[in-house]
Amino acid sequence: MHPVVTTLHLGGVTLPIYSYGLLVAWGAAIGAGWWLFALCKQGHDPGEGIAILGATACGALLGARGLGWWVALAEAGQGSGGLVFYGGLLGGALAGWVAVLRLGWPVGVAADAAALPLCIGHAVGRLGCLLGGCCYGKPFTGPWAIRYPHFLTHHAAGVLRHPVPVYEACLLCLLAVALGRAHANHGPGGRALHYLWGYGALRFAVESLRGDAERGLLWGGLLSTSQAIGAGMMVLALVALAWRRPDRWGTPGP
Amino acid sequence: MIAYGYPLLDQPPAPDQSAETMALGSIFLSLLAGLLTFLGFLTVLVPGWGAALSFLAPLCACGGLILGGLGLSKAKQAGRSRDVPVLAIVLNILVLLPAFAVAMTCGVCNAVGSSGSFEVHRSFHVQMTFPEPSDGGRPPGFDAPPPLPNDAGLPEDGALPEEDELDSDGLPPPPLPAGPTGLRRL
Repeated sequence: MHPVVTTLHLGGVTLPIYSYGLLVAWGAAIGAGWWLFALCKQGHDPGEGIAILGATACGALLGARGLGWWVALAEAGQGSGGLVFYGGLLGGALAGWVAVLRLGWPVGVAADAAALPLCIGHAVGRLGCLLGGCCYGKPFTGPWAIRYPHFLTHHAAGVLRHPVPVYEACLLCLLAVALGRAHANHGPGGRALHYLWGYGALRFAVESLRGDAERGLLWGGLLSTSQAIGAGMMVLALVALAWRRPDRWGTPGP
Repeated sequence: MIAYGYPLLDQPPAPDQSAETMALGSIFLSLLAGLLTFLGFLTVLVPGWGAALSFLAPLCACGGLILGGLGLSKAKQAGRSRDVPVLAIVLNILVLLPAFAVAMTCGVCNAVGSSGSFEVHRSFHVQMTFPEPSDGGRPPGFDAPPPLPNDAGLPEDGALPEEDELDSDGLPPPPLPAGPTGLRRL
């Protein structure tokens, strides 16, 4: 674990550069830049693309913070907590959708262009989780088990555990490869729907190896909050893909 | 004579200032985001305030990005100079990265700390010793230690050690822990 990459000393103020924030910001920058570049190559206006990115980032921040607040409220009866990826995904998608519609961009094309950058940016962010010492796994004694020594993971310190952030980062890279190779036979928006069910499935699987109890549990610990959201997302995306099947409906949906 | 309500045909159309206005608004938001980032970093230990300021900073920078992007688009459509919108976008990106990093670290830390999710855990190691009762008995609940094996080097008849076996303080070697748990973690 390397929670602090380096420490800056600026005029008497000590500013630690945390690896978690740095890698999450780096992942977001990679994803945003990739998305903008891909759409500008298709002839879209970069200014409007930057505006859509700004709106998406606003919605993602508000969603991630809002869901974190809600989970903390449900768990501890006191609303605060950190950031939740699914809240960011939902808020960013809603805000981006509104911005795309307002600017008259094709929604399906913009969503398809976001699938791969989202995977890669998210994978980079998960490496930040690993370095920061959060999102740790259950105890495990295999050859690739890792030990969390840092004070941030007091509950996990000193025990060999599953490197869950590494699993998720690797699976996200595999998902990106699969999405890149997938034939776009479901019309505009098809790749984005494949991302939604693919990520929902992988998150559902990876969550079963998580060992941090602070992330919220539902139905007496049967499922975590992220597992429930992932399962719902997977079902909705598969239904949408089935609805858009060209051989069933003649033409892809809007 | 020109009829009332008709525009002058030779008068140039009023320049559309919306691109510049948006760009200037974007620059203002970038400066505000920078200020909020600094304040969020300074108030990281103040419950509630650190999180609020830290999360407000990237939101301001994102708002600046929206205005800057729209300003750039309008300037491009109107064929006007794109220097100010580009400057605004660059400023917002430069501010957004540290603002985002501070929100992800200081803001999250403050938010989690403010909610009371963190607990301070300390471990105390207490050596519990009991005075030997004058009657040679033991406190209730503490059984006698198990018999030592013969290879421990002690005499089997329980005789006291000789003078040369004592250390410099005239004390015998330290005894084995008495009772069920001599060392307790509280």
